[in-house]
Amino acid sequence: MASLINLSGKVALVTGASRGIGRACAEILLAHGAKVVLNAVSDPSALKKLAEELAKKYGQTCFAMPADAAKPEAITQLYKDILQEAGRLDILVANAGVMEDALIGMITPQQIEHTLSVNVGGVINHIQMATRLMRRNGKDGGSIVTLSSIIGRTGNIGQTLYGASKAAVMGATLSAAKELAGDNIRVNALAPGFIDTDMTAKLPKGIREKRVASIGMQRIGTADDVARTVLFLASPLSQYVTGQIVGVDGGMVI
Amino acid sequence: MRYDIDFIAICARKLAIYLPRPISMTPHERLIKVFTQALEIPEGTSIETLEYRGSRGWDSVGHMRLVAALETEFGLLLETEQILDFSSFQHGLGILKAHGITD
Repeated sequence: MASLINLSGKVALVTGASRGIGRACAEILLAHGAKVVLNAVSDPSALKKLAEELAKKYGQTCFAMPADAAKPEAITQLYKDILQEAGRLDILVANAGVMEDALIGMITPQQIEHTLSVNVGGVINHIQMATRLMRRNGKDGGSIVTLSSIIGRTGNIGQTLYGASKAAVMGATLSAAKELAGDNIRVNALAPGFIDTDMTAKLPKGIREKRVASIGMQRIGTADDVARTVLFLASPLSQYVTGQIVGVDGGMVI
Repeated sequence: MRYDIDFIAICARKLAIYLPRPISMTPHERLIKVFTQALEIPEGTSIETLEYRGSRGWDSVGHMRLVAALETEFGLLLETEQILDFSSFQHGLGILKAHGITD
């Protein structure tokens, strides 16, 4: 039986790919044969260098295409570039996001605008544009994986804004899955728990220890733990799976 | 009798110019084909008078199918505003014109 996770011939876009979960997703997709477009908003030259490094490491085509997820016109241009450079799109990992913690009463209008435009507007715009390219694949369709969070399901102190944005990602994912199933475009979300990334490294030591203690598997998750689930959802292993929110949290309870 | 394979190839190329050539379609004709196929319009229907939500098949789902077919046929990626404004065959021609595609 041929391997079900051979992604050769497929083109994947990973947003927020410069580090953490996004980078791990890009690497695992490259390792399984996909051509990968790295997208991030920060430092275009660093992103280009990363693409060259990963292309060499995996012997695969890897593109660097910077764009700001908060700017719809930048997202449109990104997809025009993908069409021109890669010719198609099969997999979208909508990972780019921001986390701005603030207690109720201290959330600024600017924080609301920024978080919602990146975490919600960005994801919806990416789904819209990715769908336009994936519909061209005919019966092969495509796979869209969005990144929500355990916080969008359970909530947490100081994360009213972040939790709202990640709950919105789940809602968008569920609706898109229903709308796109007929085009054979699968849409699923991941809800990672406490994952060891630059974003969570900023937490004070006490809070970090408390969080780990709340995880059934007694360890902090890794970006690779998340990337492995992305690989499953991006590959034909999950060909009949759509409209699901998959927790990647080691049994975390908040 | 034996013939050299290169000689046969040269003869075939020389004779080919006398064969009827495929006639290339104009953008207008290609757009009619896009509408006909994407919206599954019965033969004999006047495509050029069709309007969004005014004809069978051209509902919101049909519209996205039509956009995908147009983008594929002409190698374009439309702006969201163009998709929203695309409400008739004439608008379709206008979109092509905006991308520099004319008869």
